[in-house]
Amino acid sequence: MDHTRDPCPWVIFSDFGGAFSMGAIGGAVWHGVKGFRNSPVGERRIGAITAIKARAPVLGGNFGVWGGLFGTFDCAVKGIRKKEDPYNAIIAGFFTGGALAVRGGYKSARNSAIGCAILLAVIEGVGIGLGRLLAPPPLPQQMPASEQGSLA
Amino acid sequence: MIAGRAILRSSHANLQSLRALPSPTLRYPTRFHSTSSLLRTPRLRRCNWPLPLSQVSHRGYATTPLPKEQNPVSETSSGTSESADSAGAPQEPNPDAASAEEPVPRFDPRTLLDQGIPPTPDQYNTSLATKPDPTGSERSRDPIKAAQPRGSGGGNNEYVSSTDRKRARLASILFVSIVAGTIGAAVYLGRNWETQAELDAHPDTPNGWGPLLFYNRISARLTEVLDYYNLPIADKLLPDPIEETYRPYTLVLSLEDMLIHSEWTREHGWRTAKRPGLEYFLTYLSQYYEIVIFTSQPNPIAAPITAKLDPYHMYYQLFREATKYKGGKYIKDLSYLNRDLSKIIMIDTKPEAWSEQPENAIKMKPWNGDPRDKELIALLPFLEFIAAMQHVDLREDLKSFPEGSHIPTEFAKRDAIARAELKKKLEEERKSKGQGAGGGLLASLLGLQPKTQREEKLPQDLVRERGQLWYDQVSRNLKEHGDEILEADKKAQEEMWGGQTTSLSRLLTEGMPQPQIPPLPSSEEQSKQLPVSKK
Repeated sequence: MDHTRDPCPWVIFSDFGGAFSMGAIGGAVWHGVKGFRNSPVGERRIGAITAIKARAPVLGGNFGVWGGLFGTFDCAVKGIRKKEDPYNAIIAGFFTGGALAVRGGYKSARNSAIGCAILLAVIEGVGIGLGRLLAPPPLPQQMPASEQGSLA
Repeated sequence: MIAGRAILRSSHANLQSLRALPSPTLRYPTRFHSTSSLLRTPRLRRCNWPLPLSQVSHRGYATTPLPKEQNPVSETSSGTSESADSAGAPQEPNPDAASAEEPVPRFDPRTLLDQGIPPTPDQYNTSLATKPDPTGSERSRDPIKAAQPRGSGGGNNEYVSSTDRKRARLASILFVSIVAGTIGAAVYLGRNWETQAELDAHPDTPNGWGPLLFYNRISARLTEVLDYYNLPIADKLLPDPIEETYRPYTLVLSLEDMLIHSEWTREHGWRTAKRPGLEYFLTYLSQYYEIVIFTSQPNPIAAPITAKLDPYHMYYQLFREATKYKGGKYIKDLSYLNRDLSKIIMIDTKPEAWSEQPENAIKMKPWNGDPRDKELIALLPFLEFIAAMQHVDLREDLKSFPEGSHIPTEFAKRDAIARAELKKKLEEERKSKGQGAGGGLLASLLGLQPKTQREEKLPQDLVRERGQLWYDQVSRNLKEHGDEILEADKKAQEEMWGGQTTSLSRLLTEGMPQPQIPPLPSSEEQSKQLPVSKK
């Protein structure tokens, strides 16, 4: 019921785009600094720009693939289970981690899947904990008596 | 690399061949690629030459005589005949070495190892690994060797570096500590209840020794830890009733698919619709009931919606933090509401919400956004009737309707029966008392309603008329002064929160910024507070 997210099939595009942006901007920062530092003096600015042009879209693509896959599996799991709870994200994380490492064989895929599922479990748990922590306790609310007539 | 190794293997004693190596770095190979993963020698970082130069030939061979008990065995793990030959070659005692004084260039892999120069695999295999270990001291010192069955030491010529030995030791220490920790934690968590209060709090998990009792106590203690997340955020979700806003009854309403409905389309995005008659329903009933909007959506998501439904703060708002989480579902437990359970009615669409107190609930079907829906305002006559008749226990009223029946139609039927009976009674009275019982001419001159019309009203009709007058008055008031009230609220908010700046350091040291709550009312006003009704 989160009004900031689109419902299920369309949210995959949003997730992909959001993750791509994160990867591209983060990659620009990271590879910019790396290219700057690893270039000879006098060519540092162009070295940074070259590194960014070469590598930041790649990192963005990697992040985007992760986000898109996660969104796909999340929607698939939601459709199958017909429930909305944190387990959807954990199962989707498991499949995402496995799918991304499947080229490395069974063991590598298994380890990556478990790691990604644990990461998402931690994220969901922190979300639940923060929601409870930051929820305002029921304060004595002032009920305005001015416009309320009386029964008698 | 490979060429250098082959050359070394074939004639490592041959100084000339060593000179023929392509580069000096390959003289002593820094990495062996063997079939066993344990055979890893550390990369040479520095040259360890503790021997004085006089004792060392310029090729790096030790020139001290070998100890006599060394048993050179020519068998090696590598199968080439070349290596077999050459491995045996340096071990054969040179006739010249019989004289112990003469420094004979012997290739003693053990001494080379002491000096930090790793030998080739064959050299190591032929001399060191196959030495018998009579005292067994080496096995006790080396955890990897100790793990291998005896007797296989002869065939197992693995080289175990000190790093591997340390890792193996650490792994075994960790394993033992984990097992011990788990057992210790189980024993500690499953210990008997310490105080009488604890024992009373858990009547079904008594003290005692036994695996089932232990397990019960462990699970009881662990669920207590999770109670912070599973139980409602406070024991009293609503404040104590005060005189200005006292209402005899409480109405708990769900939000999603009952009061509003949200829908997403590609063209318009998210849109939220209010149920037909919603504002009239809420405003009208707020004279008889305390209205609580209790939703299982989280606070950040649902608070903007309820803020729009309730701009003048006339209703209480409770969110997901006020629900109980059990079995993967959000349960609205009314016993946390700090109100008398016999005076609460809950209207909800989800079975899990009323699972704790199903006798207090009006069970409705979810609303799908249909603008022709009339279910909500159809409940008005029934709810007003209860309040008008000042019923003591609302649960009895709800029980009087058969399970699964539609309450508005049922109530309308009963209402029609009651009115028919009243009409019949009045007709009988009129017949028995004769004409003119209503006051006739005098009544019509004075503008009074004829008695029949007055008497045909049931008490709830009178209450309804008064209620509608109240509603008219309140809605007019809100229309005229609504903006002023909002402005005053905004100013009060600014007074509470305004001028407060917080920084990261202040957040960490002082916590979240607190509002400056205006001073409490004087003691005279406080004494007007009504006592909290006991359940």
